[in-house]
Amino acid sequence: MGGDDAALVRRHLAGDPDAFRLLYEKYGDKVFASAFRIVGEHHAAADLVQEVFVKIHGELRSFKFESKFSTWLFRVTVNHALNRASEGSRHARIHEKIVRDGRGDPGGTMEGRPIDDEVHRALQQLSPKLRTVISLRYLEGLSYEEIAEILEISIGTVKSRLFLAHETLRPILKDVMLEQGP
Amino acid sequence: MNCAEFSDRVFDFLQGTLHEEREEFVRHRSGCAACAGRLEGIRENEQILTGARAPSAPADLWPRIAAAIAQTRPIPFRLLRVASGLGAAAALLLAVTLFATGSAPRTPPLKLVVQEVAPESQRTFRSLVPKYEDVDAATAMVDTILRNDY
Repeated sequence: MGGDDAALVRRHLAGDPDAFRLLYEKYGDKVFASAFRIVGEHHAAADLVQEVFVKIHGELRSFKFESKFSTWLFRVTVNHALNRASEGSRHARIHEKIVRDGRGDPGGTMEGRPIDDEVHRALQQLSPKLRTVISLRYLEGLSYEEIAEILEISIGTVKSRLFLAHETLRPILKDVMLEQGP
Repeated sequence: MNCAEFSDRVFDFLQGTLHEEREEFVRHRSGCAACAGRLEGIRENEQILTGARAPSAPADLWPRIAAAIAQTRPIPFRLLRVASGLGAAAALLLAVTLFATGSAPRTPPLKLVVQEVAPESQRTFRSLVPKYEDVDAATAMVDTILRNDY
């Protein structure tokens, strides 16, 4: 566990009211970004991150300090997100239709750059499991070892999922590159 | 090295951690257009993916989380212990009331409402626990109750 995180967890357990907020400030955006990539929708990602932080707040007292806090946090996030993604594809389609019909708030996607929206749409073509490894590897910049620990799979499985994800993304992202120009 | 083995080692190659089999890997790439294309595709994908911006969490997310945590905060053990001394119905009432009003410190003000409890417990509450402004005041009062063995 990173020294700062361990110190913050211990401060929280000792009753420091600011410690948990500081953990959120450190990881909130990262956790939200991963959740957003996996569940594919802004509001659902926000709800999920809320659930995750409430859950870990309730469970920090039983945290064993055997793994890094960030690994545990991402594991909880990814498990929640994968469950949500599997049950939520119908909701996502409905939401997408509402937005397309102009009857709703798009939920704040990426604030501007078309390339980011294109990448997000490309990732939604992947299965939730493949989206997850791509998100953890390239969005969070985690190592293969860290991803394996978070997902509780072998490093070989991480690499094979990444390979499959790249194979699927290749033609889609090639089109994105052509549209964006040099 | 065949194509499957090439695929297995492609990320080690890209990461610079393929040492012993590197020469064999490069030789296969030179002789296999499909694998060379795959490797190039992964490189291009990685360039796009690592350059993509991540969305930020909404500004109101932390206040929502903090409010949700306050709602789920467990009832202090000391309060439950005291309440249990006042009888089951009273204990339940105290627990439910504390939970429903939120036991977060000071906001919103905690108020205990005495109703639907056994008559003896009602009398106890009505006489001794009429109203509290916050958790500290409630705790002090129930401590008093405990000390005096009501």
